[in-house]
Amino acid sequence: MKNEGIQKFLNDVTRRLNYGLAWRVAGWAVLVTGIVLLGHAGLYRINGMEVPWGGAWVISFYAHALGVGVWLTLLYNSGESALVADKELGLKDSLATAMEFERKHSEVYKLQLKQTEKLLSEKKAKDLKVELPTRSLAVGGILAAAAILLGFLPNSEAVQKRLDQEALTESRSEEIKTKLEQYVEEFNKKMSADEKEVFNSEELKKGVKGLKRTKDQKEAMRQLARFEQKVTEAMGDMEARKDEEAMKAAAAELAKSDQATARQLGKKLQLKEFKAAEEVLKKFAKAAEFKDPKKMDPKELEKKKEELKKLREMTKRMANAARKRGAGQEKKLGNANGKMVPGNGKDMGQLMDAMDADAKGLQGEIAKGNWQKSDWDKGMKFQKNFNKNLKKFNENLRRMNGKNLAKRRLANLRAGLNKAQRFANGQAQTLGFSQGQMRMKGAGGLAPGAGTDRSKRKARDKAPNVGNVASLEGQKGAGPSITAVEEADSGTGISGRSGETKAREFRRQMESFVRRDDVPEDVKMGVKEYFERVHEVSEEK
Amino acid sequence: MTDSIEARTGEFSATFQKITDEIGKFIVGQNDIIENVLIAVCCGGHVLLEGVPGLGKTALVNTMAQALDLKFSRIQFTPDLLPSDVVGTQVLQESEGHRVLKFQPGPVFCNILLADEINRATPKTQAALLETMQEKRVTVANETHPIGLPFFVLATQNPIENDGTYPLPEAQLDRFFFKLTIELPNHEDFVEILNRTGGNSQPKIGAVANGGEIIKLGETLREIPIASEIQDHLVRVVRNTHPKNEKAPPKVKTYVRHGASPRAAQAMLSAARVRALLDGRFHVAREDVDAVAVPAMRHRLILSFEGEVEGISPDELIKSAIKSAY
Repeated sequence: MKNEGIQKFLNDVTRRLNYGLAWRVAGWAVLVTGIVLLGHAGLYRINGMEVPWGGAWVISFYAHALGVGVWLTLLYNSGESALVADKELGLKDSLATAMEFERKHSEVYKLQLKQTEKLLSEKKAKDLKVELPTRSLAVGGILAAAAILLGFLPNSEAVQKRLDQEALTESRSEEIKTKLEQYVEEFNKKMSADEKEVFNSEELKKGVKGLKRTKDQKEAMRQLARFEQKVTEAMGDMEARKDEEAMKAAAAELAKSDQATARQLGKKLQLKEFKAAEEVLKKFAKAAEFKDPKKMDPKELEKKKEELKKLREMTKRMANAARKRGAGQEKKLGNANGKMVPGNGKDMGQLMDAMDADAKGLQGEIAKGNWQKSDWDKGMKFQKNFNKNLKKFNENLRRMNGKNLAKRRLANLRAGLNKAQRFANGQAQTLGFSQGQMRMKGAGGLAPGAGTDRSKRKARDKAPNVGNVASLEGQKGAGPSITAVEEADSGTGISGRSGETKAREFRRQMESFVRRDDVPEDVKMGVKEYFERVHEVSEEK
Repeated sequence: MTDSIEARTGEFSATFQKITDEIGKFIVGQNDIIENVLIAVCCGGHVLLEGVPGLGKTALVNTMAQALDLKFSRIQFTPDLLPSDVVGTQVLQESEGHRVLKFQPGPVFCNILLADEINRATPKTQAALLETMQEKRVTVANETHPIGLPFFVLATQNPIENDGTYPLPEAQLDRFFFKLTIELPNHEDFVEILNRTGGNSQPKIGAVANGGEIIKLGETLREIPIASEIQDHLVRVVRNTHPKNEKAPPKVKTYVRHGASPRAAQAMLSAARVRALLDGRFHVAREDVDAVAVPAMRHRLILSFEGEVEGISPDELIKSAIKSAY
């Protein structure tokens, strides 16, 4: 049976000790809170940032929760209390012994219990000193107060500027993404059948989806640059330079024709209005199409012959143009920018050649005027072949038309992306690019050879800031000259230097330039436009 | 004598006090030494007294022998002392016309044996006491002769006399309940010693307790309980003197080769019980354990080479072991 007096004393001691422990833990908790709060505030202030109050609340909460946890873990039990009371109250282990032997009944234990009771009657639990941790409370309080004071200081000017910039970049990156999504959606809707045949806009959609909302301006710029790279690659896929060259040569040849229709076709080809050119060709071919000559009215036959003559004149000029370009020219151009329109095995030059051969054959058969079946079958064969090649030619024209349109749209998109980049890095205040927006006239300077020595800039104008000029120029006088003098025996010779190598070098220079961070977007855009115009297949000035 | 534990403990304290007072008539000061010698006597243990010559070691033992009504013997240990001089030997005697070998008991056949300057005898002679001290019997010529109880060996040795001395072996040291170091008396005690011994009359010491009472005291003290927490403390203190114990203090780990034995723990428990009784308590407290730890263990620690070289005191090591036991 437990001794009530001893038990009561022990309970009192335990309460007293736990009370003292609570104060000690509270002192440590306040001290730790003060230190952590000051550290937290100091860390932010060192970086010039406003101290977030939320963090302070969290720290305080956890410090106090930790304090309560520690207190609960360290709570004294009766055995520990007995030992502490024995030590602190000078009980010489009476209490601990009494607790252990209180259920024993031998005489010596009873005597010990009695002796302990007597001893305890002279003592009180309150005799145990509970020292308030005034020092740690005071230090903790002072540190916490200092942290709170630091918490009232606002962001430094630089930090505020950076935060504003981050917020702006974040909102702008989001806005750019939304606009680009709308743009690509519109792009998709507005694409004609020809364009859809040659261009898959799903890659663009994926590219836009890949853009992430970000606070980091550089990251935003990198994302846009990556997307722009995709657009540029897509534009590269839309190149049909070799065929365009062939069409240009054909247009030039057709322009010399006495026939108005041929000149009209030439004009269309020159203006890259391939759809219209296709229509003209179709119309021409229809007019010159023969049926069984035996069944034909002689007047109609004569008219057909006349039409065939015109057609032959046209195909001859086109074939001549193709032949003129010659193998050497093709070799010089190479394949880098001279991709053939995919879809059939022949390029436009070969098709023009074949069409002329067929037209010539048909003309020859018709000119014989011998309407024997076997002869007419020969003529029909030429006509069929001609129609077949014409169909291929027209298909290629449609593809070229689709590619041209898609390329223009992509160019618009890229121009829009350049604006978006300016918008993202704060160089422009509005984004506003739209489907209807076309390439600016004159952007990137005039075409090669179309320039003038007349300066538009006034004398007082300052040179535009185009970044680190020194690094652009490099170390003067150091390193080999990049100028190479091409030697040729005469003006008609073909330079040994490959045009492809030169073109690659230009592209590399342009790309390294437009990737620089210190070059304004306007300048980059101008450089890109210029280099593209240099290689563009356009009307000779 | 009554059977009540309360009465017996009262009697214990009274007897102890009587003996102390009686010894105090002749021995000046040295209260701790007297108390510890008596504690060892109550517990049936042997005491090794160490001190420079002239501090009253022999006088203390002589006085105590007079205060107790017990048979007292003294052996002056010398290098030529033989084991038979200590434990006794067989001598040829005439008995009924025949000559027979008869055991002649040595000086150890007493109740209080003063082994004066024990470290002057050779190890062989010192070893003669091993069985006597532990088993309280003597075996000579295959015949065992018990020694009457109580039996205590109170040995003295001089720490500074190294010439012609033989250090006691560890096994023998471990058989001593306490090793007490007698210090130089203070100024007042010095004066008092001169006053008491300088005249013609010497204080007369009378016997105030007999062997039976001493044995009874030993029985009484064994009834004093010790709480498991206090006993754990005692074990922790002893274990902390072992360098291989993880919780041993760094000093012990550095300077001790072997720590105290379980026999030391037994001695400490008995001695702590006596202290508790003397303090009027019916239980052992940690302070009792701490108080007896030094005399009970100081001769049981074997110092390492570093400890020996640096002259580390075992007392200091034991105090650090006590401190780390809390």
